[in-house]
This record gives sequence, C-alpha cells and structure tokens, in this order.
Amino acid sequence: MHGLALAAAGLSWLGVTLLALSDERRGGALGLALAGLGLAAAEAATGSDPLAPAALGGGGLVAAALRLRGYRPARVALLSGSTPRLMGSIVVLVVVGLVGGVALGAPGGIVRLAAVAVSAVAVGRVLTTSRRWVSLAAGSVLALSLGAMGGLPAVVAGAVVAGALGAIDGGEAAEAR
Amino acid sequence: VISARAPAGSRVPTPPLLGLALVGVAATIVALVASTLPPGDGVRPPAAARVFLVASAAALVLVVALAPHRPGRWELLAVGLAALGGQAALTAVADPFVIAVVLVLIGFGHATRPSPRPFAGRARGPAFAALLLGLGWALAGTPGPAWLGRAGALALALSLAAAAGLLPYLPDVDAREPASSSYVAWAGFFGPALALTLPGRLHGLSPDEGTVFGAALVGLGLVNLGWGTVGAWRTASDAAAWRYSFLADWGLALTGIGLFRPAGLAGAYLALLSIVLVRLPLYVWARPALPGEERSRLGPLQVILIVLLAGAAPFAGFPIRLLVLQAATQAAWPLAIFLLLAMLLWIGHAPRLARTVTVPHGGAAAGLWLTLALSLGLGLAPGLLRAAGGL
Repeated sequence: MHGLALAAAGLSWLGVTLLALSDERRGGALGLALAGLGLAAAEAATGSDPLAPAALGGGGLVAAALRLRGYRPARVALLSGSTPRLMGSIVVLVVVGLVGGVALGAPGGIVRLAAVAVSAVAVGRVLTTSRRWVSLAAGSVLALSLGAMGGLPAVVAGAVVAGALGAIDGGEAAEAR
Repeated sequence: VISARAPAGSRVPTPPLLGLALVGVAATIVALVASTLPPGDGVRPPAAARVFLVASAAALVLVVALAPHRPGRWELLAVGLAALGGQAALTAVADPFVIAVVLVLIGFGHATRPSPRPFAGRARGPAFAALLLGLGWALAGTPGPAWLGRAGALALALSLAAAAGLLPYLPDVDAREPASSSYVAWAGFFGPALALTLPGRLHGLSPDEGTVFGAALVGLGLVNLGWGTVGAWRTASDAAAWRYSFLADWGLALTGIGLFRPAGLAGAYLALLSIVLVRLPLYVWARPALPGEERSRLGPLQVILIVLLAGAAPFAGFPIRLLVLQAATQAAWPLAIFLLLAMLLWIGHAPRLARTVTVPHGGAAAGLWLTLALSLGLGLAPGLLRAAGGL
C-alpha cells in the first residue's frame, strides 16, 4: 500500500504539472483529471472512508469534463515560455520532498505531502496565467488538493467546489461580456 | 453555466445569480440558527461572528436601498445576498481546510463579477490566501522539527493578509470598478469575517506556534497601519487614498487580534464591525466622485466626517483606539508609542477623504446620515456590542 500511495502521489504531481505546462484546453483538462485521480488513489491507499477517494476522483473528472465545454482544438499545445513552469513544478516537488520527507513513512503523510505539492503548483499557475480557463482549471485542482489535506468533510467540500468551478464559463468571451 | 452576472444593461438578476442569492440567504439563516445547536458541531459561528453577520446584512440593506447612483439595484441585492452566504460559510465552518476550500469558491465566484480588471488577476489573491491557509494548517499539524510548525503559523497569519488584500498582497485599484467587484469586497466584507473567526479555529497550535501567529499578526498590523495612514495622506489618487484607509483600519484590527488580550480582541472586533458598518458605506457614498477626483466644499457635513474619519470621540474609532492602546500597554508599552504616532498621523488623511463625499440628496442623504448614526452608536455604546459578541 505504501508503494501504491507513493505512485499515486507521483501521478497527482504529474497531472498538475501537465496542467501547469499546457496552453491548450484538452491538455489542461487531462492534467486536472489526472491530479484528481492521483489524489483519489493516494487517499484510497491510506484505507480511509471509501467516500473520500470517490469524491476526489469524481470531483476531478467532473471538473475536467466541464472544462472541455465548448472546446475547439488549438494548433499549439505548448507555447514558448513553458520551461520555467516545468522547472517550478520540479522545484516544488524537491522542496516538498526535502521539507516533509519525515511524513513519507506513513500513507496519510504521503497524501498530505502530495496535496501540498499539487496545491503549490496549482497556485503557481493561477498566479502566472492571464487566461480564464487556465485559472479556473488550476482553481479546481487547488480545491481538490486543499480538501485532500483534511478529513472527509474537507475532501467532500473540495470535490464539490472543484465541480462548481468547472461549471463557471471559462471562455474568454465570458470575460468580455 | 454559472456566470453569476446579468447581461450588460440588465437590471434584473439572472436565474443563476438568483439561485446563488437564495443559497446565500439559506446559508446565513443556518449560520445564525446554528447557535442553538449543542457545542462541538462542525457548523457553529461564535457570537461575535453572528453579530458581524447581522451587521453585514444591515450594511447590505443600507447600500442597496440608499446608496447614490445604484443602477441594477436588484442585481446588487442578489450579489450581496450571495456574498452574505459566503461570509456565513466562512464564519460557520470550523475546519481550517474547509475554510480554505470555501475561500477558493468565493474567490473564483467573486472574480466572475464584471470588472475592468481581468478574471485571472482577481482570482489570484484569494487563491494564494487559500494556499497559505491550507499549507499553514498542514505544517502546523505535521510531526517534525519545530521550525515547520512556526513556518505554518506564519503562513496562517499571512493568509489573513492575503485574503483581505492587505500588505504585502495589495491588489490593483481601479476607480471605475464597482465596489462589489473591487478589492473592497475582500477588505470590507469577506476579510473581516475571516479575521473574526479564524484565530478561534486554530486550537491545534502549540504555544510556540501561537506566539509566532500572534507576533506575525502584530507585525502585519503595524506595517499596514503605518503604510495605510501615510499612504492615504500622501498618495496622488483619491481612490487609492480610500484603499489605504481600509489598510489603516485593518492595521488596528490585526494588532488587536495578535496581542491576544481581551481588550485587544474587543478593539479588533469593534474595528472590523466599523469597517463593514461605517468605512464600507462611506466608500460607496464617496465612489461617484472618485473617477473624476472631484472634491466637495468644506461644509458642516464634511467637518463631521473629518471628526469621524480621524477616529475622534464620540465616533466608532475612539473606543477602538482606546482598547488597542490598552492592550498594547499591557503587552509591551513601547508598542503603544508607535500606535499613538500612527493615530496622530491618521488625522492627516481624514480631511482628504471627507471631501470626496459629496453632499447627497433624498434617500442617499438619509443613508449617509444613517451611516454617521451607526458610527455614533458604535462609539457611544461599545459595551453593548462587546456583550452581544461575548467580548
């Protein structure tokens, strides 16, 4: 179970990194879904209430599906300037691993560390983007990861909020209205 | 699906906004009624927060019914009720992680309001505040070296400043932006609700971490007090001067909370009530003149406003200053010297802000006098409000 929790934590980091790197909505939605599923699998590996992983996974998938509403394929998946974001994600992973390494011994600690790393990368994306859908997708991941840091009420609240943010129109036209 | 805004020019709330308003009313009622539940439940706002919710509802009614130049009054009412629900959620929830999640929802929801500033920029402050709150609480509960817990306590204090848009997280100010979309919603509505309840939710902090949390709040309070008083006096723009005046109020509130003395907590509670009941409505009344930087002539109304905004007796600012000074002298008297200096400097920007409030007519005039009466009530009967808030 310990190895599964570690692998799931890695998946959640991979998901949020994909979201941080992607300049195209499909990649962002995939990153969101992976981050949610990774956190859900890590939570499941701790042997917690089955509702918690179901809420995290469901919240991530619903938010990702809603983010694809009105999607039109773009030509470019990665714009120039994504390297600093990749470096940022790696730095976050290393720092969280170094600072919270003590907690890696227990599956509960792994979930919390994964959630901290995911939320830090998600907020980094919110702080650096000027696009509405990117900000909303990162907000959904942030809600999921903050929920995963706490108990069942926080997990359910995080999943509900992630889904609610998915329901907000992410088109730039919504902003111009 | 949820755009939470009416089409341009519409004065009637859209169905999603109407739904959010109903949810907001329900959340507020639940938060107020939850006081009858036995202690220990997950949803139970403290007495001070319940008084604050009622005060916020009163301020909302005042602004919606009587503020000058209020196109789309019904839409403003719907947005206000939804915001009141958000405030109720912030005060009622006991788990800091859930509070962080609620902050994310409110932050992104608020960013959908029409504004000259872009959505992504307006969502940054609340998202960062939520991260600091979650990170801080996670670090405070992590077994490991003591410095981790202290860093967590520092992050918790910074999360309050980030949520309210205080130094070092000042958002942009645009004089054309409606108050409901601007920084005022956080500095004058959501932020005070969080500041009133969050310190009481952090029972798990060790004495060492609690000291760091308090010291960080006092430090942030002094920086915001100094920056706010000088900034409001010296800045070129009247719109920025109003923003700095919020900072100065927050400076007193944060210092009062961080001192962890009964007098300081009472002063902070009154300061936060004064922000929502007096500072926020006065800003709304001054707003029509801000984009054009118009100044009114110095008349009797402006003289009264100068006395009020300077924090002199018999208005709300006076007991707040006395209580925070009392707490400072009990904790560390040199702190009182700095506070006294800042309070003297505070007088400098009062005439400037007072002259941005033009003399209104009709209902708007009644609203302005009502705001002055509320400040007078806070100043003359602070004991009643302290008793109601259990402070």
